[in-house]
Amino acid sequence: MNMANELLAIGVGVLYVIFMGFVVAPNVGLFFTWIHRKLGARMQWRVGPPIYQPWADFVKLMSKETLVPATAHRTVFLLAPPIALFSAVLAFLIMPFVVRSPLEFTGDVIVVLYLMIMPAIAAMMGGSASGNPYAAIGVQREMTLVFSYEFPFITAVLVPVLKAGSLRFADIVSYQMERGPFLLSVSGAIAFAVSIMVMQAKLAFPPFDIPEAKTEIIAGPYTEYSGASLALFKLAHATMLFVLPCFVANMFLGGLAIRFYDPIAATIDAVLIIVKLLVLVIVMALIRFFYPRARPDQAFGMFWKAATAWAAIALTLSVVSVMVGLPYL
Amino acid sequence: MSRDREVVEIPLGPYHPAFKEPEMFKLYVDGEEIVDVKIRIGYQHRGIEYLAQRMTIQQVVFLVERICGICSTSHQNCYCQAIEDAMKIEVPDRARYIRTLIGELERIHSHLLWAGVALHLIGYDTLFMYFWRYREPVCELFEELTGNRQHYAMICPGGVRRDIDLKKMRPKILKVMKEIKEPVAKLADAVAGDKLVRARMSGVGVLTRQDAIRYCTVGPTARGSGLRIDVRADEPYAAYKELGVDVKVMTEGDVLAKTLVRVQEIMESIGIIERCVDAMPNGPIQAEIKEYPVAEGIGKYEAPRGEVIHYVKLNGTTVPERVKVRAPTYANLPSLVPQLIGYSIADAPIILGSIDPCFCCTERVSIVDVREGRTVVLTMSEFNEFGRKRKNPLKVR
Repeated sequence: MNMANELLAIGVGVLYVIFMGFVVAPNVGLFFTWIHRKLGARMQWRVGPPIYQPWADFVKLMSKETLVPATAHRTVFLLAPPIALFSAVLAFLIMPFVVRSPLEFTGDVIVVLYLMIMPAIAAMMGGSASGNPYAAIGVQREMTLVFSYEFPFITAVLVPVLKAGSLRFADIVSYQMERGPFLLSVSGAIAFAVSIMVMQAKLAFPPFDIPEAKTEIIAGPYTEYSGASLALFKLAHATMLFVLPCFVANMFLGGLAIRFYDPIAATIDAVLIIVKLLVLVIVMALIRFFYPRARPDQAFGMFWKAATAWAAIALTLSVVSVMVGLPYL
Repeated sequence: MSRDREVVEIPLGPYHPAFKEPEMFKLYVDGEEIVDVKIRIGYQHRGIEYLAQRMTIQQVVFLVERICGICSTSHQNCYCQAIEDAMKIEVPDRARYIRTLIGELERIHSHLLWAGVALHLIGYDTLFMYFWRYREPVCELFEELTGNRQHYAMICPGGVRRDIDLKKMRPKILKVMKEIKEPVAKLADAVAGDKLVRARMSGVGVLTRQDAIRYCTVGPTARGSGLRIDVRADEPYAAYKELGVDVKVMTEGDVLAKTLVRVQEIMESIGIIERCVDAMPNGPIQAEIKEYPVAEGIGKYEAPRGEVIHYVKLNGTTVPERVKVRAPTYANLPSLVPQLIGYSIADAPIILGSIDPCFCCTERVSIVDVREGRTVVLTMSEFNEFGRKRKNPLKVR
């Protein structure tokens, strides 16, 4: 009997991984890219693509030939796109979404933070393996950008971690469900703003689209990619467009859980999940379409000076709030 | 330039998303900083001058129009002025006003197009689309006035080919001018007021007044550096003497100054068009060509990008003996070197864009080049030798 229960649990876990990781995450991500493209088009007096366009693009790219340049390191070049995709999917699988993740463990916040850097690292690997001068500049820019945004990002993420007193998503989310989202506290709001800025950089959207600035360095690290490997990179990017809002919602907006034991609460929660994600995605689109590209040194300056300073202020406030016992500081 | 540091060569072009046309800029960079630039053109050579010597004077009008897709009427106008200069033809008043109208409308659409492209170069696609949206009414107005959105084919030696029905078109022209005036001013404010746009444009790609003189720059590139030169004011052609031109000058010399000069010129052009429509006299639109003399003529015209010069030599037949074109980008191109050095790769596209380069206008000389990684640029005599004796210069050296 015990054995059967264990097998059942493993079966449910596997089904969860397959369904959530390989059906929900990429498809919702592609849907979010469509929202971005359509919103952008409407803001720019254009019509915009039909809703199936991201899927059509993906299928088209998958059916095309993958070219590997003669100067490229073949294995690394071809391994980079799947690494990017699987890291994004795995980051999503560890986070709670609707239900608690079967893969959760103490310290999963740290692992997810690492997994969310992986797409950028994969892009750097693939870019430097491709042997293209534009890719080399793109990799150099991507690396500098990662170094500059990662510190304020981790500092900002420490705010909810400190307040909830745990490095586990489930604890952070349940803490917020009991006492309200961290966004409603001063330090949480500042850290949230810093995270929005970092999300923009992690997805290489304006004003931080410097690693793949197309009028400067063609496509940066992705310059030599084509066919299926480019499709996987694009899918990884789309998945990240879903993963990052999930992460921020879990950290600052009270989580994406549904209280199944109460039908009314469950309905409200379901609506709230959609609202939270859509608001985050639309905010990103607004920033993306109403800013020009910053020059690399300006962008790095923004992160090293403004973002780091604000994140440090938020962290100090949260330490004070925990020590003094003022939850709204 | 000392080369002992780690200097990397970054080719921009011949095909690059920042450019609409093939050209090549070799940037020598140290990290992100540009330390040297080499400019190579010649990918776009179409043999227009050669073709012009095999067509009649009337046919060349339509050939020179195709030198450029954006400032098409500038070349046509300039060529016709050169022919009129050679033949000593007096252009009727109404034709001069119609030429002014078409020329200024073209300046508006060209500057709006440039503003969009410049914003695209710094990654601001939303404002790019906005600028092009307000260019659309101008193109539609062109279609109503001339039958075409581009390549209007309005001008011929001695006048213009089509009359404009002012009774019908005057309200339409004024309506379009009113429609674009306010939004363009607002967009210009948005550009000048946006902190990040300012950070990208102000203090970038500075061309000092001295360099602007030394490199013989023309047009908005020169006017952004404080040089008050404009053919429309200095040697008025068409109806500019009567209508008057207020030459817009800024002294900073950076990309922002060149942008603002162009925006102010759009406003000035709108004013000129409004005055032109009101003051347009009645009368004939074409002077007759009575004979084909043996003569030389020069036409000067202020295109949206700067001064165009056409030279024609007539030999008494209907076929011109020589047509020579100097487009503004040819004059402005070398000035990119002082503008680029010292700035970063990220600045390169907007600096290159700031002179509003138009390469298909510029290409008159082709340079023989690369094989097996070696680059051999031929001298003129070597090139002639190559043509006559079929000696491969790469093997000779």
